Amino acid sequence: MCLYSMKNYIFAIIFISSLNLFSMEYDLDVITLPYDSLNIEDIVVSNFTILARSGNTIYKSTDDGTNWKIAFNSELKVNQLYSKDPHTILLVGEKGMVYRTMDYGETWLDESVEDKYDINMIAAKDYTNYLAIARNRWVYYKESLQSDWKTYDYYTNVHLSTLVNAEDKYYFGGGSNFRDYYYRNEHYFEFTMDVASFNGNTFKGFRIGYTWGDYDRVTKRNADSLRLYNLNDTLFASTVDYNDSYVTAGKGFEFNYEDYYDLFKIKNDVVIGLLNYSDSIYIFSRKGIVEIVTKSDLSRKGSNKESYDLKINFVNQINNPYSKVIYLSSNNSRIYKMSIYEPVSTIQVETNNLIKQYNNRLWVDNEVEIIGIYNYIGQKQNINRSSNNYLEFKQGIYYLSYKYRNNIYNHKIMVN
Amino acid sequence: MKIIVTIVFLFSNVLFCQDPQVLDSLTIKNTNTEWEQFADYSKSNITVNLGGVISDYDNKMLYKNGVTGLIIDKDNGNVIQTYILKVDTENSIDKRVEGNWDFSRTSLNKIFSFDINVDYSIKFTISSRLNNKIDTIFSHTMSYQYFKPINSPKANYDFYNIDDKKFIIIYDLLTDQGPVNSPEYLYYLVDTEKEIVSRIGRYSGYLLGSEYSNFIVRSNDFIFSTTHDNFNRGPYEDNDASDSHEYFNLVSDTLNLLNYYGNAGNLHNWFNVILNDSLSTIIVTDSIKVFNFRNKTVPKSYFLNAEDKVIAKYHFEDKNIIALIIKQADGDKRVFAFHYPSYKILLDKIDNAPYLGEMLGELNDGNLLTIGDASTLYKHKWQYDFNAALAEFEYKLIDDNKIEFGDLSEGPIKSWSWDFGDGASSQERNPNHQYASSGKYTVILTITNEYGKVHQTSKEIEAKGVLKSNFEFTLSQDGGDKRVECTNLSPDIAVRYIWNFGDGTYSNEKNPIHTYNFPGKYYISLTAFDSDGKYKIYLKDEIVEVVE
Repeated sequence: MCLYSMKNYIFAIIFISSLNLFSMEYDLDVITLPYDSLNIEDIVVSNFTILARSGNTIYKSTDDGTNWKIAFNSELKVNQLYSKDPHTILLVGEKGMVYRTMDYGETWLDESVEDKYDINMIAAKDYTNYLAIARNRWVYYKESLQSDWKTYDYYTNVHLSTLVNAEDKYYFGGGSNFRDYYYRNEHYFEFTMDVASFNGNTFKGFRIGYTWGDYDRVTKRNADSLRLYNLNDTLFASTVDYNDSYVTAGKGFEFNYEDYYDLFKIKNDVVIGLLNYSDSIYIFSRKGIVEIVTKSDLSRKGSNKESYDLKINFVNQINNPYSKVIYLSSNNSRIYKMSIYEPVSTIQVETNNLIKQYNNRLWVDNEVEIIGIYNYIGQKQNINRSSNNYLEFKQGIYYLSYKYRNNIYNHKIMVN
Repeated sequence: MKIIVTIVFLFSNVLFCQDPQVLDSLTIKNTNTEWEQFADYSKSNITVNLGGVISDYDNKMLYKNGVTGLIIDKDNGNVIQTYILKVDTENSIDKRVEGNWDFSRTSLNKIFSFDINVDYSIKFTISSRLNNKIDTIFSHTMSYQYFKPINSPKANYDFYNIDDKKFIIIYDLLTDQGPVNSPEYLYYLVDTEKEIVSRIGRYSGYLLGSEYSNFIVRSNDFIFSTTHDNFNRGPYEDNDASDSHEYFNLVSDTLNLLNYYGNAGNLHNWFNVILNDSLSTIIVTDSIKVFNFRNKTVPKSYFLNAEDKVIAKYHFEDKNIIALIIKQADGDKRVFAFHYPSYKILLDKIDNAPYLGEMLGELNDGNLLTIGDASTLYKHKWQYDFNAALAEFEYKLIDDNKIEFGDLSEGPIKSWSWDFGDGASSQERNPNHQYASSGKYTVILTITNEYGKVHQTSKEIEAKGVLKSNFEFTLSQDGGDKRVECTNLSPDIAVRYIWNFGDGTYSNEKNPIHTYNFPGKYYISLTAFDSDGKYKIYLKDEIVEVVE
């Protein structure tokens, strides 16, 4: 069924940071599905094939969002469309439903769990090994393609709503847990967001946002909406506390000790996805804000960060199929495709990326003084730095001489 | 950066003195037991509090519960004597009274009592009473360094003797460890002969101070089972952020943590039985779990209704059977029995017999002594027969001519013997067998139960080839694109295929040719289907790389 597509605009903004640690150029294409008012909850992207889930229906495009068709309409309630890779695309939902597709939604293979509890989420270690969570206690584990589902009873006090494979384990959790008790006639209170790990044999646990003590100290916590992420095989987590989001790579952060732990706070928004490019973490929010912070700055509350408003307003999920191309599922039947331009090369200046080449343009940090630019036969070139710190080059080979912290350096630049 | 607080706990100023005290308050009185006879049981005039610890001494049993101890004759179940300890709380502040005395493992006449006073040092005294002579056999003072107890002296403690010379002391208290006050509990081993006090364990969390605290000593192999509300075990992985059961053994004066089971739900401590050297049973919220504390697995869970409570256990050790008396929310008593080596349920039945309750032990005449309705002492014969043996099995073809067998037999089955029909055999419960060639075979399963009863069944099975998925591919350059030619190596039993090229495209051809024209790294998978719709997936571990 071919209706229409709308790549209606290209949105390109250049931001130059005052700190000059980051700058990001990107295009933002909007892909509108030809169906009314879809809230697109999950998307799976493999090159130009897109699967999008809204409710119990899977929509499919094979031309990067130009044409769409309904690939699957489930009679059972669907809770998640998941993809580890193009060979591991899974659909889970009520009554133990686990479906798998090997042909991008054309055929759905039934791998359902015999227990008929509603499955909240699934995650895979690879195409043979996956784990699903149901309600507040049931863990289903499929160790290999040949093995049957194993059922584990891991009772928790919260609805299990987040699951990820990272660090060779499965991690899962959900909402927050509050309890009080008496000890030697004194009343104590405790707040946690419990996270469990499963390595294929045993379960372990740890606590996110643990707070313990008297009433005033503990009951002011309001955290919920725990989300777990895998960034370069490292577990990250985010949670929402009084409308603010916290992102952490530390397994044991405590709200009262933010300064001690790898913890990054986003005001009045909900984190929905994280990406890791080199030493930077890209934090995507529900309101369509992208915050970029270096990993090392997480522990300093993101003192050096950049913020970009994509003007999307509502983001459900992100999908990063290749390079710096990110698909963002949204409401109003829309998917956004964000393409971040990458520097062709980076010139390392005292370990900071203070000079970056974008094809025929060079961005140079304020701290770097340009002494001269020469062509391949040594003739000085009259190329000036623009107000936004860019230098434009024609095709050719150039030699750049620059000064940084009283040292003079030379670098060869090739512009194709 | 995480702050790690390291606390060094040292003790010094070891003192030994001879200062008789404490046991002057122990009273012993003779008890007269009368029995009323009924058809299936006898009911006594003795009422007993639930939740104590039973121990065997020669031809007697000691049921110790708090400050009270009952000496029971194993010939007839009569309570002979009652011991009552009057605790002096003047000198020992806020002590855990029910735990501060114990009997010698060899003599009911030898009673040990333990007294503690926690201030900014811990002072304790162990006294004994043998043949009415009171003597302090050990006294010790530990002072703290780098370690400050909070709201001291409110520590809780408990005391267990291992033999006539060694004791374990356990206590918990709050400590000041920086950001928060941390509860922790400590184990000490006291060797009165060598005059040594050594700390053998220190853990975070409450043990004795919590509602469900428990500490069980299995003296014959020094395995200790503990249960506690693990309020503050810390946020770091490797700690289990939950209530937990912990299993220790004591080897060469060192307490080794064998394993623990943690769960975010409440653990109910009072049903905590070590079944053998690797299995225990525990109750978590609404499940009875068989827990293997050697490898930390839960091989079996039995579910209860959330409002049900297990009120008693009958452990038939020689038959490896556990029977539980469950008090349901509607007031009925339910008898639930399982055979724990095979995890087979043997009995699940409503039974409101008044004698069903906490079992104290088996008398010499075969009667069981229980604390039944109205906390009254009963004796009765076990009414149920577990001597069932019914052989049954299932099987599944898992590879070419390879069969997986699954035992479905009923009863407390102790051994399995398989005859695979091709001359081979196995004693495993659920064996796999590889047949040399395809064909039909008669498989015989013979089982023997815990009572020696034997039963046999046979089935004809067929060994044959199975569906598989397999392929090869060759790569070639097609201008700027990469061309892949796939060769399907799946057996003829496969009738339909899905090739997934990892780039958003697929093919249903048997031997497709595919061209990649977008840069990236790709894997190829083949899903092969047989005529029944069964399928096998194979992903080749070889990257197709397309560069710009």
